[in-house]
Amino acid sequence: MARSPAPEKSDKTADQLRPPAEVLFAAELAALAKADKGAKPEGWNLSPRAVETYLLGGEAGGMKITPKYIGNQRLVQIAIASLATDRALLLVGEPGTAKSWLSEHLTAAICGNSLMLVQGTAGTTEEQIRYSWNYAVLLAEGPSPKALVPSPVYRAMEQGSIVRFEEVTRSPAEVQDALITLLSEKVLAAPELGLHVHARRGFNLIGTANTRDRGVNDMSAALKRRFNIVVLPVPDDLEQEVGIVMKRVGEIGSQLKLPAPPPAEVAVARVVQIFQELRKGQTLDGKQKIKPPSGVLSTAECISLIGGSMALAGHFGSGTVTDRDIAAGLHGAVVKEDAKDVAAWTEYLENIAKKRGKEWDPLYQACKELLPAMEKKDAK
Amino acid sequence: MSCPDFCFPVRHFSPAAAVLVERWLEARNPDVVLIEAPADASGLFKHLVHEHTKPPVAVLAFTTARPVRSVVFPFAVYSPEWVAVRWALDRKKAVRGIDLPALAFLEHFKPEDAADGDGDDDEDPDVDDAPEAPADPTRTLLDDPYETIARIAGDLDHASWWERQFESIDDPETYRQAAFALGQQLRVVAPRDDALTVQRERHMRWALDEARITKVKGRLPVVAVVCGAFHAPALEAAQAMVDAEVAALPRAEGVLTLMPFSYERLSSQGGYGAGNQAPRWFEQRYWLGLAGQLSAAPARYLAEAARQLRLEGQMRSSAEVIEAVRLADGLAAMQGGHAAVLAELRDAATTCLGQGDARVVAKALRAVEVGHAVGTLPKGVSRTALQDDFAGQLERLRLDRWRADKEQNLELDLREDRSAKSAEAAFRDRDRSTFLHRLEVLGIGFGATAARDQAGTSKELWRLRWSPECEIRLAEASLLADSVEHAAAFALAARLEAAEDVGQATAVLLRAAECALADALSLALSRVQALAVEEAAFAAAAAGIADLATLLRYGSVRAVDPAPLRPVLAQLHLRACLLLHGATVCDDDASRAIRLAMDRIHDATFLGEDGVDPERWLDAVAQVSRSDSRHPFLSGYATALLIERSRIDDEDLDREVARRLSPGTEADIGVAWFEGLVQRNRAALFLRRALWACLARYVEGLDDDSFRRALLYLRRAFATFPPGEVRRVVAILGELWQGGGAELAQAVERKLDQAEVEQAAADLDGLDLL
Repeated sequence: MARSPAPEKSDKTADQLRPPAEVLFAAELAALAKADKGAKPEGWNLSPRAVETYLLGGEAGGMKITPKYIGNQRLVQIAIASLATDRALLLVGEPGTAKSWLSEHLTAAICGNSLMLVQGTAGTTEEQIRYSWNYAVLLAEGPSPKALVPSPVYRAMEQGSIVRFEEVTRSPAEVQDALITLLSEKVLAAPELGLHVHARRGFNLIGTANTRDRGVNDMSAALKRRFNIVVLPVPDDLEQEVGIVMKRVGEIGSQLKLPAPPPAEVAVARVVQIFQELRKGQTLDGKQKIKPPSGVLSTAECISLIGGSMALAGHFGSGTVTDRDIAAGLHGAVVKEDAKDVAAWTEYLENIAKKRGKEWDPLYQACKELLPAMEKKDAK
Repeated sequence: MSCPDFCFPVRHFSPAAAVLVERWLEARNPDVVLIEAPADASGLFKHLVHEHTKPPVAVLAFTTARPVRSVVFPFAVYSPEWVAVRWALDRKKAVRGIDLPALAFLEHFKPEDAADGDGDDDEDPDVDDAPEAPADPTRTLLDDPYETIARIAGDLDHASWWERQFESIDDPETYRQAAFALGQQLRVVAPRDDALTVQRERHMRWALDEARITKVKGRLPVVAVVCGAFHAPALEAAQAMVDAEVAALPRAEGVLTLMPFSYERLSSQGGYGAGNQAPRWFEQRYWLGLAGQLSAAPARYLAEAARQLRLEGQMRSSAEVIEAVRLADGLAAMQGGHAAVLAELRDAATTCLGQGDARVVAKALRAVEVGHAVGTLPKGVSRTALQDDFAGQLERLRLDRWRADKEQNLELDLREDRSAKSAEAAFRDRDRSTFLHRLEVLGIGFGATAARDQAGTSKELWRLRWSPECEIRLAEASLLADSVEHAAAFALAARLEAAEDVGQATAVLLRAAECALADALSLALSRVQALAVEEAAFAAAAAGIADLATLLRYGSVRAVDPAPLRPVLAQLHLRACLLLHGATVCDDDASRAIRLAMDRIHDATFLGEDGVDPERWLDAVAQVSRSDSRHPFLSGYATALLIERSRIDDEDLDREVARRLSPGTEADIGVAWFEGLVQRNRAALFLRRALWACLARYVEGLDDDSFRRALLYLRRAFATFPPGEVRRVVAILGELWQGGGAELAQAVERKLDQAEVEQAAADLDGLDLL
């Protein structure tokens, strides 16, 4: 959990599997900072407008800024404005709606360090948002600042930067409660040392929470009140989602050095369409109802599906992504839990995909081959 | 070119313009004020700003010829035009409209081919049609130029752009110049040269010139014009009409009047107009602007939203409101603005008060933004006599509370309230009901009767909702007569004229009784009589009988004299008895309607009315029951009617059942008869073991093919049985089939699993039971 305090900007980043956003987009951030004429809130690297440009794309000092978040511009503005008014921000949404992605990039743009991170899990303890002790030093020398191991929140307060708290609702209630005073008083006490850490200007917290987890460790009203809550929607526009998937697939492909190029946009659009239709429970034209499967079919899943098919095609296939490669991923994405998902997927294939004509036929055939034998008989 | 001194360009429903135009008028002190409003509405202005007039109100123009077409010009308290009129009349200055006359608008919007102007129009006037366009002169403009401007400025949309750029201006001169410059730009990027716009601007120019050269107190007057920003540059550029052209303008035959309007309606207009997307909120902005407290607007909006949420039972703290205000300010700052606009206030409310969910706050925000305000007009103010009568009756019947633009319930008890102090109070509910029924006949759309639990009650439940459309329909109905009572009588007379059979005529009769219109009642009665003589349709006669019976039974509560009704009922009843035999030869579809008609007559027969001979009816029914050539379903039903009146002894019945269900009878005939038989008094049938034994034998005797067909009818027959009765049938048949009632009952009640359902479906071989 305790990650390095600042990103290492050495040559090693080339070997990193996934460099942090501020390293990947260092050039863009520098261009934005140079061209930025807006007023910066204290402790911020960029003005709110420049942060918005960084996230939504645009142009700064002759450099093209790629969009990081494709979707509702208004929500991004609300998120930035919340942080600018030193309110903690909570990003809420279905799994795979780019909550963590957005929080990482917001942090990268605002304070240039997206690595101050607390991962909320059932095992998260209060120490992880306050401080813990280096027991060897503690036993040898007694309580001293040297023996104290600061948490990411502690460090963010000292430095005046933004700390991210992933999956707030997965951490136990007492950990969530510890956040309450921290967020309103903006001070953290270490009574053993008689020490108070007052947050420097620029300190803030971005939390993410999953709507599917509702009820697991539901947030108390008191904690909710300390957040500005922004709900990130599942994209329901085909073009938009295809755009998101194409962009991310291209990035992943080059980062991971996948041996096959991304599939054509038509193929991606088809997968996205299947995802959207299953998600909504009806065809895009609204004419037919569909039985939706149990799992969430998020955009993130769609991206990894295409990525997976690229790897499959490159290592075991012809080098270009075929419908067979995609079908393998599709089956796994849709059929998650039980026989019901198989039924839903079979129904979709037989009632919708089969009737879509020639262009859909190879994909339909490839998907059908993967269905268990029994279902195939039933489908007839 | 800068804005000429005499002109104040505005956007309609702009609160800032409303505040500033008054300051500007104060400074300029003109002798004549001209506003962009229909020239022929000028005479109504004094009522528009009458001290007891409460906006929103509208000028309504409608044609006196059918189909009625209408056009409305709404004004809110924050309309700059309304403020200008008030300013002028308060100071005894002349004020006039300079736009085309409203009647010329009506003529212009006449539908192209009059033949297509269907009859629907006079029944259901719809203000959504073209007529409202002129109220918003710039509305027909493509939205695009506005959106383009907003996009160039980097704002959210044109409403936000306008609000940000114009609604915070605090200096009349700045507003004038900015609005004028916008008007000029718009005329370049989105010029409009359609005939109507050209005519309007030439008319405005003519009116302006007229005003300039007409001396006031012996000198040329100082003139002030308040008009839409788009038209401002044309005031001096357009070529004036000549007097002859003005006189020759084509105008529709019509009338102008005032009517109350509602914020609900104003907000649904959409399109151009700064304040009409959130009228209640923009009125607040107007008051804040007048008091110089616009900076408090975000706090006010969000505090009101929080209060609404609390009223809904959702706790919201002041701390949350404070955070919301901060967020709104932050959002505004990101757009480079100083004050948060409506869109930002909404977003802030959603984020901080709704915890990110717009649905949580939607209702509260609507209450803050739109509200239920309805305008009022003082008594005697220029309105049609019918509108006055309507308002007067509402007051007299104490229905004022229900004159709101939201749905409300009203329960009436038609009986005399014996504890009431005055005669008026004792019958108030009945009078209310009469009044509401009359409005219903006129199709005003103010109230609708809600379904009652049971028929024989003296209670009525009404759903009431007033909307500006009601007022428009009233104005149109004013062509019929000057009071609600007379107009309703006219409307009923017209319906009576159109009545083709007895059923339709008695429906009018019933309405006339509900409306307490004695003349219409007797008129309808004689019409019913005339039609009854020749009535050849059994169903229509039955409908007539049912209506008359209803009136006889419950008419007393409305003080209807039953005496003249009785002979007509007797006559119709005789007619129906004679028609029954012929009517029962029909196809399957018609048989359902005929059964319903038989039902109605049967019920009416035993009310004990003079002249209605039960014997004759039962004889006719017995004939149907015996006959083999009638529809078997109806024969079965006739038999059920006879059983109910004990007109068939057990022996006869058993014989009849045996005959009808004898093996060899076609399945559809036998079972259809049985289906008819079980439509009524089943309790009596359950006691007749012999009947069920016959049925059991009959079903057993069917071959596979006939059984399949019989199944369809049987299923239909038993589908209407409640579960309790199904159990009794199962028990009886179980005994008959020696299966033992309990076992069979268990088998029937058990839920089938999917496989069994499929198996059964396969056995039935695709027979579609539905």
